[in-house]
Amino acid sequence: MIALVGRARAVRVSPEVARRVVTFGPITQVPGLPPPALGVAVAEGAPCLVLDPLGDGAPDRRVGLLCDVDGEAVLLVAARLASPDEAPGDELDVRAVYGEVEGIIWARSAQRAYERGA
Amino acid sequence: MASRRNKLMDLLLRGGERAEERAVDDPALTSAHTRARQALAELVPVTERLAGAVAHARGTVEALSERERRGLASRAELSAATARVRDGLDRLGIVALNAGLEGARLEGPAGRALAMVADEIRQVAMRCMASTDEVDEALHAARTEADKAHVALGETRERLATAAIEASSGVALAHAADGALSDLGDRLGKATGVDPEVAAALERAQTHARELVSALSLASSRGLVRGAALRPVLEPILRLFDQLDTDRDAEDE
Repeated sequence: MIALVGRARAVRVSPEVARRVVTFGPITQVPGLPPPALGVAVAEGAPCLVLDPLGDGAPDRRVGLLCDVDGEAVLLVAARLASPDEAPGDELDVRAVYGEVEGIIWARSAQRAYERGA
Repeated sequence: MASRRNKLMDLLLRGGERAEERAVDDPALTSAHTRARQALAELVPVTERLAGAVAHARGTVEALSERERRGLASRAELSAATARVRDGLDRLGIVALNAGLEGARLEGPAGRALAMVADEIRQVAMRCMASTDEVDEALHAARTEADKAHVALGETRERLATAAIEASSGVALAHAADGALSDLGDRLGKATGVDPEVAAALERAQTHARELVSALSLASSRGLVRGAALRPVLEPILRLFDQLDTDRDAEDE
């Protein structure tokens, strides 16, 4: 388990979802991405969606937790990463957070397609 | 005997009066010239020593500046080294987190052992990071003090440069004053016919002669000294006064 420690609170991420702690490149903002998504960044040579589940914004150090959500690479960021013993907190449902963002993206995409068709 | 003694006394007194007349014309000038020479004789080496001390101080300041530059280079190297240490500890922390994650995925005692080792490594890395932060703070404080010292050295260097110019001017002025005083002494000698230093020596000799005459007169009046015994003592004095008379007469002509 890995703990994401923010300014106000901390959450834990299960090892079933968490893969590795990695360094990543600059975050590229994507217009229309809903929070807690910050943008897209390259980690271990591949682009991945960057999520900020604690809402503290992009961290100073480009170190994040690379997760695998049903085959999709998702990068979770926080002020710092720690072991669960240092910062106890609730377990984060990464799939739910990712699903919510993905749902909003698809809904907006569908809305735009509808508007173009109309 | 008494007439010869009186004639001798008269000669001595008249010679002293003539010497006194000559001294009346320019005793202040010769005295002032003598005092000025004495003062300059002390001033010239003082100004030269001062110029030497200022030059030595400038050398010391330059040496300090060189040390300061070397210290600055050392501090820059230390800062770079602590940055590398910090980067290494950061990476070590990431490795420890990943090892803990793998330990959590492994089942059984192996997983727990791996997680425990990973956690210990991470704790050590965090303590080392804290120590590195302390080193950085100390380096920053040292840099601040060094910056202040650099400013102070710069101000001191400027002041010493000004002092060196002033000291150099002082030496030149002292030598010029010495030359001017020598010139003044030559002109004074030409104007009065007597070298001021010689005039000062003559004045002292006249004083001694007057005191001697006075003592001999007292001794003679008491019958303590015979005239024949006085001759070896008085003859040089008489010759001196004769010479003074001759010089005076030649000037009057």
